[in-house]
Amino acid sequence: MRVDKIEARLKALLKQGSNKRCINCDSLGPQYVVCSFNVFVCTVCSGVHRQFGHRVKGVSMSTFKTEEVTTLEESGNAKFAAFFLNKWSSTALPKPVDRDVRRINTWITAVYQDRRFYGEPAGGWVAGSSGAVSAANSSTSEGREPAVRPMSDVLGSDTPKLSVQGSGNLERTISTVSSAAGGSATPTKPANGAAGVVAATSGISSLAVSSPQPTRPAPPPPAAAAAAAAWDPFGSPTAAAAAAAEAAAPARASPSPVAEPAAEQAWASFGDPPAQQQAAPAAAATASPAPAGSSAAPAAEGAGGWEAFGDGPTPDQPAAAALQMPTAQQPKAQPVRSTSRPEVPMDVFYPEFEHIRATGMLPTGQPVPLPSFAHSYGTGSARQQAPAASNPFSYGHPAAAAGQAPQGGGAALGARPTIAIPPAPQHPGYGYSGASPAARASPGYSATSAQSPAGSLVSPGGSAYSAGGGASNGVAALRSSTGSLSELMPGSAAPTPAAHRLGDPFGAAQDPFAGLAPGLQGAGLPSSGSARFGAAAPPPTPAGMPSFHAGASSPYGAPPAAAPFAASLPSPAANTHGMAASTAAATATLYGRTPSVSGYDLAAPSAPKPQATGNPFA
Amino acid sequence: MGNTFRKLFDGLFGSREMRVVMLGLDAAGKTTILYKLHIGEVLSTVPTIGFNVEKVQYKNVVFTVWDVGGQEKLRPLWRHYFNNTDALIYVVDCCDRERVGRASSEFKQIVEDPLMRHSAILVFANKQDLKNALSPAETCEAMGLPQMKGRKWHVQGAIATKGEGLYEGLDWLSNTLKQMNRGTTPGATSGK
Repeated sequence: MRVDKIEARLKALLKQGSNKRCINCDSLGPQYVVCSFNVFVCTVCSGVHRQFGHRVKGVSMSTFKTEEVTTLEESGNAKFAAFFLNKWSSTALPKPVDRDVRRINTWITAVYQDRRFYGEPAGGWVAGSSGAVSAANSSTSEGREPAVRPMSDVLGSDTPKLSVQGSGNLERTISTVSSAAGGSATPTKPANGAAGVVAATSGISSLAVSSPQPTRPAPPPPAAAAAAAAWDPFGSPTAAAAAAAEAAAPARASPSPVAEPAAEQAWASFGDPPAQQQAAPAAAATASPAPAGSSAAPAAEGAGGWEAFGDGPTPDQPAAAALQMPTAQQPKAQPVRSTSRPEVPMDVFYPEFEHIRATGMLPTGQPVPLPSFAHSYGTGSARQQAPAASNPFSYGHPAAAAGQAPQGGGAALGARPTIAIPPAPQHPGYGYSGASPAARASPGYSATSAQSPAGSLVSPGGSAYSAGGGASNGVAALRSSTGSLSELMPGSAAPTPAAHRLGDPFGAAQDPFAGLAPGLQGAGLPSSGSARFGAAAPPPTPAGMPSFHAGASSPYGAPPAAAPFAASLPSPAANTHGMAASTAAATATLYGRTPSVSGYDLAAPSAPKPQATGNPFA
Repeated sequence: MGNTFRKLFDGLFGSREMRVVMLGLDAAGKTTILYKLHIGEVLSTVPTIGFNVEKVQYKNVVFTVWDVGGQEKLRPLWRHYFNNTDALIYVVDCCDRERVGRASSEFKQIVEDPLMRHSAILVFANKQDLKNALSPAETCEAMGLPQMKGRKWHVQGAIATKGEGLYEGLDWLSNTLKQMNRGTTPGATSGK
């Protein structure tokens, strides 16, 4: 019965606004949950997530604990989009809507591993809200500082719905918004939104969701749009929110004619350049899962519009060129933005931080609080002090921390050799500063940046991984940064009957993203990799991957704990021992960049593998 | 009788068949291992619902490997694959320290099943390339293999995505099969 309740809650969750679609590829009806990030994804994406070491659970074939469902109710796709796709625009990296495994791989690397689009929603996250608010946020805040303005500025003074009296009222409004944004004619279940509130506040929501609620028709759309505007905590222009809501509508290919002029009006009221006016609807159009034919033109248009910000692709570049941005971005000199900008991409170098580093003073005039951070960091009690610890979403605040120290991870690595689990793998993209003497030399700098790794060290603990969670995430990051993109999926199309089900395998040779892997390798590994392993990773055992076994009568039942047991094994062990030599070489190659590992001939070719083909009559 | 004849035939021509069931928790790498062995490539796999089955030939032995989905609700179905199985390949995700206990309890359930009493046990300690992975020794300990009496077992460190350790495991399986056959062929009455 209890299990049924949990399942019912999960099913109800799947019917909510943005949870109806895969967070990565927008395909309808996701059936898997990435527990590490609490998002719903489709089957294909779940497979790719597993390659990154993310914990994936099937909605129907796995069992969920009450806490897990509660966490999902509190977060889900909408919240993830609000944070991790905060700075995302379809021109920067199109969603892998074609469900191509390579694209999904690139996407996950950028969004989950590198957190390229991570940012804090300007108004904070409203738990229990869904769809429209986050969609509005993600598509209006990209590349531009969120304008914080009084509501009356945006709405005019005669908006009656502006003051929200009761949370139930609010939630109902929001949930109707999400249904409008969902674009489908399905009536909403107000109880779902209410359940979200209950879950967010008290953590006990079963009473509200356990039984299916009678469906009620949604209020008329105009009211819903107005509600979205009234409720937008991010201070974004009303009509833009409406347009974004349109963009989130799965059923529609482009913003409705009503929303479009309204959006332009809204932007005009901000005095934005005309290019932006074009960009807003265009970006909204591309953000929507439009038919393939219609998506190219708006994308180009959007690129043109974003050019006004100096960090978008130029208009003459095809939209596909934006795919190359993961590699191009790191060395690229970004224009310096004003300090009033609250969030800063972590992969951009900002001269003002040089100033902070050099002077030890924050722009606010306060000194960088070195001792307290250093203390909390060194003793591992950062868990309590790091901002991420109090965040129920608990993924750390890489962007926020990076706002103070774009090279934080590397700097922190240099400063803290004592903690066993290196945090930097969370941000493989900017581990490059680990080798930077400037970053290492400045105590003020690393103290500030210590927040970032500490926060991320804590964060996985809040989710599925409690013990060694940071490490396992780091491992995933390692895999992405060692160019596993090409290593994991070499080869050509497999003539296997199951190939169609497993997704199309692809050759690294024709991989258009092949440039990505070396790029990551170049940026991520040489410094962060060495720091990572130098501090924490034990060198591989001489036997590489030792194997041992025991026969029924074997006296070797109890395995010795030390490494050289492979030598002390009975005869079949000799068999495997020979193989282990090749394994050792491979392992050494794997850790080859580690300065602490020595004694392996990295150039030695591994022993030829026995082939599975052979003459049956041999 | 037919069984005896088949073994005689196989003894003459040197090709043997071995029915293997490959189990383990979800995301342990079973399907990746299966297709790495089968076609030598790392496919992008999706969580298996149901099973995959492929024939893998290695050193005169044709392994028919059944790879069964490992999600919670699929695990009760595992026992339907136990019948007439020569060997169990149990795949452990050595990075998932959190679920090692779960993996161990599922493993014990399998090997204590009456239908699996005579099967050889090969444990792949997978994902050895990842940092913080359990070593094969630790995996062995976690699975409770040292306490297991009267069984043929083997723990093999493996990296499915690179193919490391997989053929070493099959090596052990084929050798073990040979030994077991040598023991059983004369009488041909083993309770298998």
